[in-house]
Amino acid sequence: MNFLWKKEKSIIAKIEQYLQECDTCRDRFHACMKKMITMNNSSAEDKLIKLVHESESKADDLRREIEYELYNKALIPESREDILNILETLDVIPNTFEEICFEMCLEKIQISAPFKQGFLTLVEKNLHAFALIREAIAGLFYKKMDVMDRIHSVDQYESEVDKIERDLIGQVFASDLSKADKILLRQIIKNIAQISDLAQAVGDKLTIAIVKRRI
Amino acid sequence: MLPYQLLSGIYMGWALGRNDSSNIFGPAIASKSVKVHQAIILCAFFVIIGSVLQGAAGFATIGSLTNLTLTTAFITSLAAGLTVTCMNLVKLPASTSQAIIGALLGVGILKAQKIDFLSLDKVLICWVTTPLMAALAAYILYKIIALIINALPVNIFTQDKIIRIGFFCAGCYSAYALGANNVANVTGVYVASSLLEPWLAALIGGVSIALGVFSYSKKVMFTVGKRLVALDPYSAFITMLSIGFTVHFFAFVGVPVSISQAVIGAVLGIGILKGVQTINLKILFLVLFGWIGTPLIAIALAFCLTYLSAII
Repeated sequence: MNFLWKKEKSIIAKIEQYLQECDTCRDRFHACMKKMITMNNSSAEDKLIKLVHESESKADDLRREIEYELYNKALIPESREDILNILETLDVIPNTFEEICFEMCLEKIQISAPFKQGFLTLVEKNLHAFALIREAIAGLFYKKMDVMDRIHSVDQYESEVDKIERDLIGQVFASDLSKADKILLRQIIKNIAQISDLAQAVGDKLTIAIVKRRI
Repeated sequence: MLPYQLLSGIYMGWALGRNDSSNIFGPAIASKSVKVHQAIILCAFFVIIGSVLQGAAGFATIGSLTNLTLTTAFITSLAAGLTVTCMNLVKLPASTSQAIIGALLGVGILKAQKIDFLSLDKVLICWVTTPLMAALAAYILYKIIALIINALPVNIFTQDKIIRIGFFCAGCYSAYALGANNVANVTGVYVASSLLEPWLAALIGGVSIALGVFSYSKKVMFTVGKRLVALDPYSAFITMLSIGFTVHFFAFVGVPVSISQAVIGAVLGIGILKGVQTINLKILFLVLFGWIGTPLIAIALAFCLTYLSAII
């Protein structure tokens, strides 16, 4: 019977690979942000930025391969549509990791000492939301855990992130930094906080896929 | 050498296969679970198997309605086949079962033959109960299979696989049921007129339905399939399975019924379960037309053909 499900097996393996590449991208982004925030090292030559870019490109390639195989008549159209929706929404997150790194690097953004801890917390909370949605996707694809629980936790994280984002922007604008620096920092804060918004958007797609499959 | 009178039966079988096969494998094709050529081969194969293994029960019902000679058997089959073709041409859903019964009545009345109203009552009751039974089957099957699937720790891929295997199995089963139930429409008149032995009639009938399946267009299979798949894949699978169960049940009873009306009933059952209105006035009209209009057209055609044969 195995030969009948060759296409599905290949897709499942590629999705697993894609999710692992997203994890790699997340870890590299985390390391990169830690370095840039704590050491104010935003050199374009930084090896870590290149690594983030590399894993983002690899994830993109894998997603395209999955899309090609899905369009190549594997799975029923409804499953195909749901999987594509989920992966396409998820794929924006590694792109955002890469954009934030390049933004920090190209705009030579320096994080002043009073904001370092706030920025680190913001990054960690957002990455946690991403980790949760990554688990939820694995739950839907491989039935490893309760998906709805994870989606609910992502929503909670997103609310927390919103609060941290507002507090941090408030602190930045209350500081003695120049107007231009304040605007640049606000943009970075918003971009980092966008990760949890995107995780929530993936959660919405997951919820739709789950509800559609409830018989 | 088979007599030429059998040609109208083969034509009737071809019309039946062409008319009904879209309901059987359409959803499986539209969902890409089965390729068109695979569906056609499977459908044709299982129709023949169903006809040969279980088709004989319907021959008795067709034969009991009125007395037939070889000529009247030829006219009956031709009138029923033409009814189905004409209705297809004007895009009205045709039921071969209702066409053949109409044609039999037409020939019987015109030739002043005795009509067995007891058998006719049984047929009419089966026609009316077909959509109702399909609705009930859809309702019960939906609940039972949902209980099983929900109890299993299935992920999105496994659920997809279950649905695709389901489409495949339900398609094969419905094709078997179609052969078992509807072959009597095709060659039942020749068994009644003592031209064919039941086993040979079942084989010839099955093969001629299969010919109709082979001549079916891919486009129409997609159209009909998508109409059912539009429900949602699980409901489409249940619809297919309910059609199979209903038509197979009436194969045991020995009364040929309409597969199109079983589809309407099954979709109605799903609609009731989901609280969605799946049946409208137009569909109800088509069901009523199937019960009344199709036999009337067949009666009229049988009258005309009998007159023509008398003149010639």
